[in-house]
Amino acid sequence: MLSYSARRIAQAVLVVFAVTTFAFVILRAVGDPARLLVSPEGTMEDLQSLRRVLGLDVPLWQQYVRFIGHSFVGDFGSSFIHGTDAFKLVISRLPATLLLSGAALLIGVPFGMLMGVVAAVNRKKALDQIATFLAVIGRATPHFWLAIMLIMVFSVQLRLLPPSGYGSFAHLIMPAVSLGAGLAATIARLTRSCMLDVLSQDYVRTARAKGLGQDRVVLGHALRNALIPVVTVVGLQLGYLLGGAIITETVFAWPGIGRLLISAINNYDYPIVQSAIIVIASAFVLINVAVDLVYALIDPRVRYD
Amino acid sequence: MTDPVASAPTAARSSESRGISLRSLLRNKAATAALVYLLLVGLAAALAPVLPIVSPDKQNLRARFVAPVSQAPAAAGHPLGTDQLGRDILSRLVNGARVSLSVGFLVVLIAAVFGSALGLLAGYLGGRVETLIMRITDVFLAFPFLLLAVVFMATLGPSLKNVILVLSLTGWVEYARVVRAQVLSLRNIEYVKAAESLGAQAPRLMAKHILPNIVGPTIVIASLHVGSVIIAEASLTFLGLGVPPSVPTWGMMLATGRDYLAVAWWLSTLPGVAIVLTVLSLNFLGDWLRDAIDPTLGRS
Repeated sequence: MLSYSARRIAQAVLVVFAVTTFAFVILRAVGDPARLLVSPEGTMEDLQSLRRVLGLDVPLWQQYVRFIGHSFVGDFGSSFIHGTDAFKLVISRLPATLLLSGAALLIGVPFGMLMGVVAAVNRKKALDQIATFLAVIGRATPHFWLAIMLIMVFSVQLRLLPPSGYGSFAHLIMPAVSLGAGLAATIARLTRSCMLDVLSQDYVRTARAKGLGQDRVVLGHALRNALIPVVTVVGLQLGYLLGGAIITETVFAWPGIGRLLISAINNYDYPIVQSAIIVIASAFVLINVAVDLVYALIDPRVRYD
Repeated sequence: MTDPVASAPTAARSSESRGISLRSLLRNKAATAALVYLLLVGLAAALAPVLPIVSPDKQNLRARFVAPVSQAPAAAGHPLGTDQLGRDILSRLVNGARVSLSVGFLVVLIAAVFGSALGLLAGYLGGRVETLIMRITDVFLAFPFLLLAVVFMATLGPSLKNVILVLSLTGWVEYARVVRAQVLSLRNIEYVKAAESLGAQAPRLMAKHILPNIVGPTIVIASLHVGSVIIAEASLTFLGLGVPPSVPTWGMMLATGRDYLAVAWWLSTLPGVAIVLTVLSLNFLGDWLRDAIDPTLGRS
């Protein structure tokens, strides 16, 4: 278990390193930020000096060596636009993104599990069909469209919720619902099929034969075992929520990493883009490792060597 | 006595004839409705240039913001209304379908062929080639796919060609992994071993025994992949990083409709409905295909 953890973490570090390098190369392969940042009346000399200031005047490999050297001491450069430390700026947006992802998780997981359990217990009855239909629709709906529809109904028509912004509970509702709905659909589908698997197991039949009530059988015996694969998927989905938040944040003007990343891309603000990629990729990889380790802990059947 | 080598590929063939038939499709109402819908949309998209509809770019400032099924005189010829420049929504939706469907199917075709080929190589050759290919898929999987696409598009610039390139580049991974696993398990099955011991060369072994057996799983992944590619294209375009605004696309219609939510609900609603119905249909068909080809494949 210990050596497994060590190997998993080493792998994770390697992946983050590969992703960072990849992002560095591809970002510099095209486009010249200095040309965009220099004022239209600027001379050739202005352009050259700006390149020097931004560190873009040396060959690519030298920029890379410099970048790696600096990144070891936690220096990922300054934002070309804001002039402040890029990494710090990205980190300062992390709480907003985590709040949004966490809220989406809190909506998606319980709701999805409830739908899945209700569907499985009422297999082939009306409730199952309704739940399955909702899950199928949820899987086919782009969440940015759901976001726009929510804005149209609850902000434009009913004037109940603010259409965008950050700061209060009311601001959080629509972004979290639009991001959590797809998650609920995925979880519902998975919970249903896992529950159906478990409900046909011998130990569930034994529990029923002992005369236990439906609630005890479903909640005490079946759900606990059906949860194992669900936990894995929830962990992986948390990573995808971080990615999906890119669009949701843009739609709702939510001041998280995703929105920062998109505006940085539009401004050719490489240090910000790079830092955002590193932070998101690290979070994603970290979550995957954590899920694997938690998985090994909660399921005694899983053995690693 | 039957020749084990000659009868081997029929394992794949017989499972196909068991499931994929018009009769089994018609028994599944959702899949039938999905197929009818997709055929209609596909036909309309393919024939868009010759259909008797207005050009999607034709502006008419006297007929701006005409609501769908409106009885106003300006609404004549615009069954689904017009947008902020008086352009016909129906025509733009049909032309948007051209983009969505062609991106969806092209990307899946490229990704499936490329990914399967790499998976085949990895599974068959093993050794360093396998390690290299699998490590690359690890890196791709360790990264939120949308973020990857966003970064690619940001450097390449918005264009239809780049959208197809980027989504193919990020979409091949699952095919490679599934095909590799399939090849690894097939190599240990008796009839493949038998063929090998009878002296069959690698190309023949691949073509006659391995390939027919990986077609099924690949088609299943592919059919469910098309819908997610369509959503991905719409997402990128919505962010301004996908197909340029000059081309009518569902994603772009959604994005511009956002500015007119208070005056024209249909601008953002209708393209969204088009996306949902299309993806829904593709998923229904994919689910049916999966059950038909291989009932043992997971439902998750």
